[in-house]
Amino acid sequence: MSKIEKETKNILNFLLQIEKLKKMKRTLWSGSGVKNPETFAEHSFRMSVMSWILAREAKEGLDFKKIIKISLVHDLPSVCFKKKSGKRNAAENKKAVKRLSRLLPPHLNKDICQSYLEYEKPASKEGKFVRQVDKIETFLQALEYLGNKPNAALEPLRKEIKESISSPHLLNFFSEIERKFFGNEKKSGNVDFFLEVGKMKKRIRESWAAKKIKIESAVADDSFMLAMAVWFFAPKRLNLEEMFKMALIYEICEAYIGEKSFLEKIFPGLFVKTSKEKLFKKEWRKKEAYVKKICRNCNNSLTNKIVNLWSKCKGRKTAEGNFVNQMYWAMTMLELLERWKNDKKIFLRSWTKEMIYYIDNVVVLGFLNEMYKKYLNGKNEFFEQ
Amino acid sequence: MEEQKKYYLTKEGVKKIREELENLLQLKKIKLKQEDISLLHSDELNAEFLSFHEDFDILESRIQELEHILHNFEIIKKSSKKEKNIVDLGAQVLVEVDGEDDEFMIVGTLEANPSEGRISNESPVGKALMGRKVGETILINCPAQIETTFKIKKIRY
Repeated sequence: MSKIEKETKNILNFLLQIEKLKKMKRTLWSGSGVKNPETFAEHSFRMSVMSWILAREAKEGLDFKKIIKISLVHDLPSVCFKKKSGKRNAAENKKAVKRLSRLLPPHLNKDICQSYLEYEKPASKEGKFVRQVDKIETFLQALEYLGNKPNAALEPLRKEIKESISSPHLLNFFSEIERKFFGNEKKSGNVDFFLEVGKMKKRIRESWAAKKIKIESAVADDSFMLAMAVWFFAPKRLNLEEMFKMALIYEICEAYIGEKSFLEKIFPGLFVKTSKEKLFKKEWRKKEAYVKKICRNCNNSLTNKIVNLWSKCKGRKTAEGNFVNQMYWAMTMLELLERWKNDKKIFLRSWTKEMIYYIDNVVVLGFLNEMYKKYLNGKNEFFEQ
Repeated sequence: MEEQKKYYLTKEGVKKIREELENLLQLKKIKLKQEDISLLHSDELNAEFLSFHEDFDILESRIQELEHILHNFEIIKKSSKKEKNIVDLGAQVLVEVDGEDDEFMIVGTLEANPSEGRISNESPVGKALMGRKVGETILINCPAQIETTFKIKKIRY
């Protein structure tokens, strides 16, 4: 086995470990009467989006890439602890992250551990910022679950969070949330946007429904995993910060798609080229309109940024967009293979066929081959006969 | 190694890249001078500028990427009469895949988007079909012991 194959295999195993965050419910909501609460992955997803966008507007000279990394890894220790209750101390958490990432290639291992430490013992302004956003995201979620009526759990949380915020921009944002939920402010740019993004915690990907596949993980879970995979496989020459942002917003339009019923089939093998182009354009127009709808109360700069990122990824218009788009397909395959393990009725054939059309990046092809080796026994290199 | 990579592009593809580079260089100039964005008359450019406004690094790296491509590209040439029945870059290929017709164009990786019917010559399908003739049947190994059969029915340039 070559060094690259070994590294790819270890990354795959690491991804499968952190995949548990897609199923683990946040312990915070146990006992609060919330039915089917969010998972750790869903919380980390929206927190990453919030950290990036709030940092962008805070103008406090923050490093966005670092901010997203810290947000993505901040709940990693939970993977290692089966016991749901009880607070763990910092040393236990640190040890858990070290143990979890020990098989990763050295540069990634270091990156993960450092990013986690930034959260646990925030020495940098980025670490401090993310810690505050973590609390604000939780408060926003609490308001969504519990409403704004007097609640024994909400008021102490509100007070505690308010007292712990030091960033002026985050304090403003917190007031924005309060005005939205406790005041008369109906339209509230960023709060509205983050509430829309929060819908992805409940939405199931349209393509699963289209192919009648029962997969319970929400779009937010998948987007969290996509961002992680992009981090681990990113070619050095590409801009990781841009790819993180693409991975986080690529499926944002699913927040609305689930409400409509357009199960268009755009898969190759079913249509001649002209029909494919037509369907693609039709799908593009609809999805772009949804992305704009989600951003409708945001300022122009943010709306343009989000639409631009989405369009570059969906249309494979830049090297970064092309890579994230292909990684999205590979992660889709990983999700399917994980389900297929327990449900052999899932029809893999049409999906494996998609891959030979959609993927041409050597790194992503290598990742797929490792998946096939793991789940389908034996080496299955793509080759012609 | 990546530095020497050749990018295969259609004429339209090269035109698009040149136009994009021109626009981005204009945006960079405006950004560096900190001029008013109202100078940009086109709505499309304006949107692009707003998106790049805070991400100067992205603008820079995209400019570098486009310049790199324009230094290392090769236009997809029209095939000679003799080679017209052979699959090459730029070919519009009609194939029968497991009993169903499918049509797509083989292009370089930069212009590929299978959802729009443009398949990369570096993808497993693209690689397998390159250099093949009408009437040939090609088996592409997918995992799970699944083989997909491609029968080339027609090639157009």
